[in-house]
Amino acid sequence: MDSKLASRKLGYGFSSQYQEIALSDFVANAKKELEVVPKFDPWRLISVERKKKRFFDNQSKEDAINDEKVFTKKYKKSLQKYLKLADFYKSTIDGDFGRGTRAAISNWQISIDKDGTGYLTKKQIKLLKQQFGGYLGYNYPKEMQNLSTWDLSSSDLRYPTSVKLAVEHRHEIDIERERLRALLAAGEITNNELQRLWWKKYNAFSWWRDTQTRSIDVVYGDTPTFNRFWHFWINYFPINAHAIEGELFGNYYLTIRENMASSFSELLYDATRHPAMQSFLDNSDSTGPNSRRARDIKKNQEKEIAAINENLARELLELFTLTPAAGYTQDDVNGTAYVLTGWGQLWDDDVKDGYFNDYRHEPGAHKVLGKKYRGKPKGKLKALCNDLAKHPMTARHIANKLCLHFISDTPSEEAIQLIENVYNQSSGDLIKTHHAVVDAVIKYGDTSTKFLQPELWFFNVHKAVGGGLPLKFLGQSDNWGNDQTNNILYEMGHLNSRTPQPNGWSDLAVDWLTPEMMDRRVRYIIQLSPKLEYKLKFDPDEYAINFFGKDSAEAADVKAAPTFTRACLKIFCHPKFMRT
Amino acid sequence: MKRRNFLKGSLGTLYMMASPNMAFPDVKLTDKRLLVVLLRGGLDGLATIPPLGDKNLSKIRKDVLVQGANNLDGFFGIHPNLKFLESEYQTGNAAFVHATSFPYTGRSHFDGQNIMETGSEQAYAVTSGWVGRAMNAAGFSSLAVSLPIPIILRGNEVNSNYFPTNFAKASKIHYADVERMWQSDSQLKGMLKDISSREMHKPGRGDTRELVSFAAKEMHKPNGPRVGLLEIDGFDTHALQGNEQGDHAELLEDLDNILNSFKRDMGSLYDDTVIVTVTEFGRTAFENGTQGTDHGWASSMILAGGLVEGKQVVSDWPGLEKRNLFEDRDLKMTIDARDIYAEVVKTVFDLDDDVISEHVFLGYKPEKYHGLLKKS
Repeated sequence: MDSKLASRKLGYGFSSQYQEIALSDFVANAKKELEVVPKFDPWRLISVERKKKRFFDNQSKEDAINDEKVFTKKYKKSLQKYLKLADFYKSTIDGDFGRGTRAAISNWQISIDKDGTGYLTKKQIKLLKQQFGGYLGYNYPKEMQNLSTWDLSSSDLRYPTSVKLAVEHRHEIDIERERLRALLAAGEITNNELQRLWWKKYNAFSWWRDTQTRSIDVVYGDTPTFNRFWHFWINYFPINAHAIEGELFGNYYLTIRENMASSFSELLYDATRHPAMQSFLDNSDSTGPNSRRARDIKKNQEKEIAAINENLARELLELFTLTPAAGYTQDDVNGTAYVLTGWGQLWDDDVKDGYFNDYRHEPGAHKVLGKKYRGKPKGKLKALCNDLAKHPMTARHIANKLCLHFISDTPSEEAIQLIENVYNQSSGDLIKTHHAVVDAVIKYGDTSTKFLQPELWFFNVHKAVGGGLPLKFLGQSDNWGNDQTNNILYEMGHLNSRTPQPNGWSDLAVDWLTPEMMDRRVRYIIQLSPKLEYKLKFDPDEYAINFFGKDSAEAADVKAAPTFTRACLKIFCHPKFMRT
Repeated sequence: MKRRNFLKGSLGTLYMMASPNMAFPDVKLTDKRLLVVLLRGGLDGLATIPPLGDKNLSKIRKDVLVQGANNLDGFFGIHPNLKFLESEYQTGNAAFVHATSFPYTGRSHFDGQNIMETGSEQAYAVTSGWVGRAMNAAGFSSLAVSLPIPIILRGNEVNSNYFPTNFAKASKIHYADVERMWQSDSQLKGMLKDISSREMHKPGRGDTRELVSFAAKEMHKPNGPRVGLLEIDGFDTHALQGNEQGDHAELLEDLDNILNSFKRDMGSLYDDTVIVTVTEFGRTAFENGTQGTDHGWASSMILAGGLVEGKQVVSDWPGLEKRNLFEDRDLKMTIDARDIYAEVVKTVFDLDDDVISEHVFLGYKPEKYHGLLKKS
């Protein structure tokens, strides 16, 4: 195996500029990538690709100086605050425009391609406010304002770095929705105006934003191997946008990411108790029959039945850990469901990061696989996750899933055991387990192939052409045309936020190889190629030489193609490109 | 936190197959049409066709208890949202089977769905599906109307699928390029053969009603598909299932409307049609703690169409008393669903009992036929 193939099996492939390196160097780099969780900051990557937003501004420096004379101290303080958020102003917010403030203004002006006068024009103040004034305290993508394709002046794409922020954000959306509805009901606006006002501000579903940002990080970022594993775990613990509050998506994905350099038991615990998963598999309202909630139901003669909901419990055993082959019983499912009662409690006015409230929790000890879990409620779940993570059937299951994703649809016993043994010996240490996967891919990948899932193929294409990822968020409804990453992945049948069932997307070629899905790939390349030709100036011949080899028949075939589109088809729809 | 009504608007997918096309020039041409409706998630048979005559029903269910079910035969009722199916029942074009399932009691969706699709008694034991094998035995090729091709259809030689897209069209030159590249690839070879010569349909996103009318249109063509498969998700009603109103009621209403428009679009062909539902399991007889029901065993089955010997509910009722429930919680299976499907396959594909037993149900011999389909 060479580093090119390795970069396709353990990443998203390479561009025309890729220079081959020694395989041992590739492996060392890949392993290093997996040792720390890189900061998720896709926004910094966008501005690399897109030119800064231009805006018409004819106010002179003299006018700006005159304007500033009437600024109050309070107003000046607010401008300093924005400059500080923009990372240009470093000293104290004192409302005094001294040398530091002037330099900050000047540097910020230069950063937006304007003359560094040190005095803000009206338009510049407006821009500064738009960028840094509206969303204090959020991880707001400030670079996005600079994109010529995105008019995000009043849109809402804040990234929920914590559940608390996600809930507050959702709360705010609810209020806005109700406000607009009330205006409509009162006859003050028409339905068209309601739609316009709504989409103007909230012009993207939160999970669209999450797909988009993840795509940006994959295509432009420098941790492809880490991201491949991230994608694996997102699909291992899948959720579906249908079933949960969309705002929880981003934080859920980040939570999984944050755990990728720890252990499987930590990951399992955090994914299972996360409100997104709790909500997806209905655990939030599951009630222990001896809980305080149960007593209240009885006392108040409420219609509700005080009983568990076993949905999450069953999948925790079946999909996330043991698998049915382990032979657990209905009693084990029930015991797990009792342990899980009380989790997933998320209320607008009382957001705790623990997401736990013992009102519905079943007190006492609960038996799972012959062991009793007792003590504090949080401790019970933690202990159960620990034990399940340690179980040999779990190790087997994870090793098998990793092999199916990275190595082969029919992985060899040796490959599975290599990973399984490392998992068992390291008590589910994820860095060591991921390293074992890298080793197994290098060792067994030469004699096996994987057919690329649509999402992987899509990323491989964009990685190959050096970007060109559609960056649009704009639209009028949820059916917003094709030039949008979410829509493309949807059309290809593999939009991650739409996982059909809790067992995630299939890793098997047989589940993807249908005429219609293959047809979509052909059509996508035809749709994409004009952009590659005129905007990205992608050179198919050069890429074909790098990908297929200098004297290969395939590269000659690409060179002989009479049109640019047909040259692209001969690369991206070639069986060699569609498999790794 | 307020729970979003997430079951609403779940997308259906439609598959069509068994078009007697060029691949099998000597094919027997059946005039019969079959629509298989996969209800993924596990249909609550007790809410769909509630056994009104079983006095235990109202004791063990509170919030999910369906009020206002219409009486069918003095013992069983029908959910008030299944208006079309009720009128079909009354005119003799629909029948129901109750306390039926596959002989699988493991309560796992994924094992259960694999069994309902493969028709095997063991999950993941075979990779083909019972509908696919039935078509193969009868000499049909297939067209699925969806992006993926589900396991239930696999196992016959030519599988094709269709699903509306918004992507730009490709030209014949482009398809020819790609087909040439794929010629020597065992998995990709011939993949675009049908698609490249197919007339282009208008772009779309796959609304269930659109798909059904597309299916009906295709089924009218002389060489069109004889079998359609419609897939509807969302029956996994663990929480806030609802009763005569709510999530489950809306799903049933959708299903009822879809079947109604299918009948309309089929026109006179409907007289030669069978519609049959398939689900992985029923749900717990008892209500759970979240006004829903968990995974159970037996459920109810819907049969409709001109070929159905209607106005009957076939059941050997096991009862809802705790001692009569499987493991004190699930409605017991008293009729093996394969017996019903065997009868359907026999009628539509005109297959011999031995062939059905050997190829379709892998050695299982149906105990008896229940007279649910008209003798031709």
